[in-house]
Amino acid sequence: MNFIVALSCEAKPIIDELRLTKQFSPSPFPVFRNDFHRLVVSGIGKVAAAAATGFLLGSSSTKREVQAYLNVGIAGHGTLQTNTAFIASCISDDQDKAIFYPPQIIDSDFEHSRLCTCSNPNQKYEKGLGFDMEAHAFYSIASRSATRELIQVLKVVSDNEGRSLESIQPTMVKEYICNHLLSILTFAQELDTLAKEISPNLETLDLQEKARKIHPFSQSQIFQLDRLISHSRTFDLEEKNLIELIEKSNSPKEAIHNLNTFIDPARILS
Amino acid sequence: MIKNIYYEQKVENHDRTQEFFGRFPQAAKISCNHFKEVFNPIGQNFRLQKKNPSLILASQDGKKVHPIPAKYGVGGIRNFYFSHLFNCLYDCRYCFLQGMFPSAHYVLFINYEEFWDDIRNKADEVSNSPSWFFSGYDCDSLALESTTGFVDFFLPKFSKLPHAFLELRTKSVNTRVLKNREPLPNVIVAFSFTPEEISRQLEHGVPSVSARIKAMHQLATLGWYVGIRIDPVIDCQEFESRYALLFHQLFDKLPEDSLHSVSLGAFRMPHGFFKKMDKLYPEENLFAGKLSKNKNSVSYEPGIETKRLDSCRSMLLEYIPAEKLFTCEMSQEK
Repeated sequence: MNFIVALSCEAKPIIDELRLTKQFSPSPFPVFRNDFHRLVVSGIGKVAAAAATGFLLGSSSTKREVQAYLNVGIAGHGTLQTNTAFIASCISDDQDKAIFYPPQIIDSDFEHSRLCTCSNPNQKYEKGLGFDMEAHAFYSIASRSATRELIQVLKVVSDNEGRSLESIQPTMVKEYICNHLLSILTFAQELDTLAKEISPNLETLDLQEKARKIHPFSQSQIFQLDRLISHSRTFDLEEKNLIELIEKSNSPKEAIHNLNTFIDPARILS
Repeated sequence: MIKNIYYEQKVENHDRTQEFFGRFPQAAKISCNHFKEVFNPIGQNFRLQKKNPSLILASQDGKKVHPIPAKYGVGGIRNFYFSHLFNCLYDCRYCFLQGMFPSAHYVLFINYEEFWDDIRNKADEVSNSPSWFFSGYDCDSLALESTTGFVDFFLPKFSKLPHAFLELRTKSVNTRVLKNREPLPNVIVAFSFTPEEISRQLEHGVPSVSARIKAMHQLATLGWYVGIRIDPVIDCQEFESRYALLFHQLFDKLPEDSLHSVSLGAFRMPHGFFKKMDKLYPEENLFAGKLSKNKNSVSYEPGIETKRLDSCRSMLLEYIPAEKLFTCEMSQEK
């Protein structure tokens, strides 16, 4: 799970709860992590959010697994009370025509709201609309390479008509996030579960990698080999037999042929 | 249960939209300019969305009635399909919708009246020859009836247009809307079947074969014309005995006069759809079967397809006359 958070005071409760530690290797953004989570503190604004999201996407250490991305932070709102957490179900931008509708798969108790990402702090609170400064840029970048269902934006209302933007203090921000921390982390965990469901089978990937090393397969043969190994696992054929078969073959071409012959009888629904 | 309703702003005040809002008061309501903003973006995952699809309420402003390829009919000369709904309640692994649509959300076009205008106009183009309208191409015609009220709206219309025939294609046992009405001679309720063992493996969320057979028999007994769709034919172990048993169960108690037609179709798929489905479900046995690509299509290897269709055809002809059997075969196109 990857968190993109604009401010340190928004990030702190998540860092503490998940016991994330700061990464000290050179990095354009502060990054905190444990074995299962990464959190980047992007700074305020669209450019910062886009850059931080791109940085996270590019520096993923588990490229084989599908990843989820969650933008958490505070937002203004034209209708909702302060300290209300909401999912952005529609994300627009004050200077960009593109509108995003993050597909909602997870059942949660969060409110749903439209969210507009602004270039500057907004103090005109339009009814039914939330305001932030990062979400659209985050979604725009993340959706170029991640699955849209796994990219979500969660905001807690910090300001509205009754409570001005200027009155917000870092301690209040931390408190707003703390108040919804359990729900935020539960949501994040469910996103992770969805990500796992569509992640490639790591055993299959390992087996494919192992098999590729046996012969000098061409690119098109690698494609065929990977597919045959994937199919063999679909039909629960023994890994040991597959590797032996490839090893006994005298050439990449023969290996593909032998695998095909081996798998063919299994290719029928039970 | 619908948790999220997207709606085009232009249909917000439509009676049906308001009815949906009233029926799902807890659902989040999210407006959009056009349904394609929600439905079409790349990078969506059909498999994940299928776990909890949202409802999109929209207006179909483009062409609503489309011609179908000649070989897909069931005896009619003028054949058309229309789609008031995109996507299906069920999750059949062989279904082309998961390869065709970028999203698993249900898109319901609520301008039924305009669909009907186009259907009537098309039928009236040639009033001395029947026109056929197929409603179950991009959805199941009955499965979401309690939500959409589609059949409830269209049946009275078709009752007044005897030269127009409607096929409702379904795997649903939700037939109350039909049982509550007098049967119409120009409406065929067509049920799709695979053998029970195949259904359990591939037709997720679909009522059991026995429940569907029961529903079909009940409708037939009430006087409705029924159709049987053995489509797609799926290659499997014990193929002959499984299909033989299915056919026996289907025809055993079915009043002969109530059977309109049986159609037989090979498993086939545009290659692009197949690639997408295979990527969504890499662990699926069906997609690792003895399939071959020919031109732009994926289907069973020609020898298998021909053998299995021939086998089904001869078994079916023990129960029905040849003129009621229609076959769609990929190999013939090659």
